[in-house]
Amino acid sequence: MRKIVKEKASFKTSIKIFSIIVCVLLGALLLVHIRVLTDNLKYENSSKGNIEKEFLKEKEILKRELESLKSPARIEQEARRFGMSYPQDWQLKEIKFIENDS
Amino acid sequence: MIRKRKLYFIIVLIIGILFSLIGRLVILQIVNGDNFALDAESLHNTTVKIQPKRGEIFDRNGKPLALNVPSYEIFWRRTADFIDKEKLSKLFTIVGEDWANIEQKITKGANFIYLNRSADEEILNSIKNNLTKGIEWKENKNRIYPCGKLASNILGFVGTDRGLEGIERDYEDYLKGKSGFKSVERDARGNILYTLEEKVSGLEPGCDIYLTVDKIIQYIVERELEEIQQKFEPKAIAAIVLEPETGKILAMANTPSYDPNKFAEFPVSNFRNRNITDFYEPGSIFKIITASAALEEGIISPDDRIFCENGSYRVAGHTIHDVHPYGWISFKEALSYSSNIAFTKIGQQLGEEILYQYIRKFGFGEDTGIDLGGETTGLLRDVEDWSKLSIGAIPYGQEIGVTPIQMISAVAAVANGGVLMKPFIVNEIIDDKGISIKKNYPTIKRRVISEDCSELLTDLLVDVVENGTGRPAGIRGYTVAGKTGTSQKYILGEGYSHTEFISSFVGYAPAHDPQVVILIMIDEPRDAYYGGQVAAPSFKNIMEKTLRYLEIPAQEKEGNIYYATKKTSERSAY
Repeated sequence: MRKIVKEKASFKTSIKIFSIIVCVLLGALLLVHIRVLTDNLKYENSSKGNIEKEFLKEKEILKRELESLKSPARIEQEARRFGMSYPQDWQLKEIKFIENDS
Repeated sequence: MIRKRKLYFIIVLIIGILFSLIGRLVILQIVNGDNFALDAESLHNTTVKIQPKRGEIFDRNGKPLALNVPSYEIFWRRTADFIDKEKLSKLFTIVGEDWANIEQKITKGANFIYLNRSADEEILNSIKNNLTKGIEWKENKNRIYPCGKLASNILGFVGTDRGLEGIERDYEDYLKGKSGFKSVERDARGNILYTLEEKVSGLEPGCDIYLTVDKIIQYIVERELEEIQQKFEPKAIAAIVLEPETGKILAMANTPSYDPNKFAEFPVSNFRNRNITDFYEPGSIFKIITASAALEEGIISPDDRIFCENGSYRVAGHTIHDVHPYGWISFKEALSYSSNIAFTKIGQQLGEEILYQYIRKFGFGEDTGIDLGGETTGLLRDVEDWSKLSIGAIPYGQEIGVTPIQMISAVAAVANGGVLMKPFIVNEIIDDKGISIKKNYPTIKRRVISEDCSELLTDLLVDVVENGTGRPAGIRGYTVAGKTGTSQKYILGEGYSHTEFISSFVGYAPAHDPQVVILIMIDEPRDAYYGGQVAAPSFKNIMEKTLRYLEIPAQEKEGNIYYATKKTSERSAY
């Protein structure tokens, strides 16, 4: 009877130790998995960062292009191409502007 | 029994392995932990130097005048003994380099050659399509002036790493910023991983500069200078538009000029801002100063009559002439017809000391304090060094050298009621967080004449434009006050030239509520040289367009009602 009890106790100890080992292994696997996920996220973030940088670059180039298009010299050149010119004195008409108090 | 022993053996083995693993972990983490952590960090983390963004330059309405765009420094570096010359020749040809010359350099042992130091995306892509060993590139920022030549003499330009002229040079400390470092993670292949917690230290982007200059007015002026250049082919032209109440520079231009985007193609002399670096004999526009002194001192009034010696007057052995001979004329007429003899006599009546004091009070012989580098003080001799002729010549603008900025500041003082303001061109400096770190406010230097005197003189200057030499400067619907100037150039060793002149005009409008003062100085115009013929029509063109652009209403005059159009948001029609 005593022998059976002893055997049962040692079996229980083995199970406990085995469970601990399994838990440690699972924990380690989980840690590795999290690490892999984090690294993947970093790569993803990195590629998104690069895309953002490209967009910002594009924005700067477009801003410069827009300002060049809006340059007064170009606008005047275009206006002249369409036959526009500064008004002559005889083309000017003054009108009285009355400030409305209400 | 055997089974049980086996089981014990396995358990002991596993425990032993576990203990040895734990022991190893203790050695790795605790005993040598710090060293390994440092090693890992150095392999895993790295610092990248970040160049600061150079501050941008804007006009007073926030329109960009100087911007940054990405550019690439593309270069070849010797990496192996084998060089694919066929591909390299293609690449150097793409960037417009002479391959024969480059090949010679490579054969002689060159290890590093630039293909292009500021290539754009397009060039980089064509390089990428024909890539060969040894070709590398680095991203940079290129300074771009989107309006080309516009305001180039104010803005200056940037060399490879710093501002070399104008605002770019004078405000380098604000614009350049400070480079910083960023800690980044690297993977096993050395690729940089951007993490969410980027640690950037020391980086300070450059500050943005907002000028008082108005892009549209600057364009109006520069366009007019181009017209003058084509019509009269002068050696140089200087022009300034200034707000008399505040001293703000709305436009400042000169010719010859340059395009800061390709500054290397222009001679160095074109880079100069002649409005502050060069001085000229002002000629008759200086009569405004003499007239101010005479009126303020009460030695003359507009209707007092002066005998103009029928066009010829001897002073200290020299003969002073008028363009047209006059007999008895009023002071008002003397200013309108620009009589040199009348002003010589007024100068003599004022006396050397008093005239000198007024000249100094108006800011001549000292710098104006404008916030641009390279300003000169002009040429004004101490009164003790004046010759006997000086009192006969200085009152009408000879024997004195003034910079355009000095002259316009002095006239602005007459326009604004008698107060000399410090001119300025930088309105505000704002850092990358939008915080204002420097703001310039209008600064009064001193009162030079009384308000009454200023009003009286304005009436006289209106007469110059309505009835005198300045008639071509008149603008329909506005009263304009102004003065013409024609000065003979002084040739060293020969005296005053009879063929080389400086034509000028300075004036303001609306005369009794002046919004802008404009000065134009034209150095050696061809075919015509009188200020009224050459400078006054251009003054009129600039003033008229500027008043319209600023939506300054026209005035009621002699029963005819002149009014400008109602304010509209569609004003940038230029």
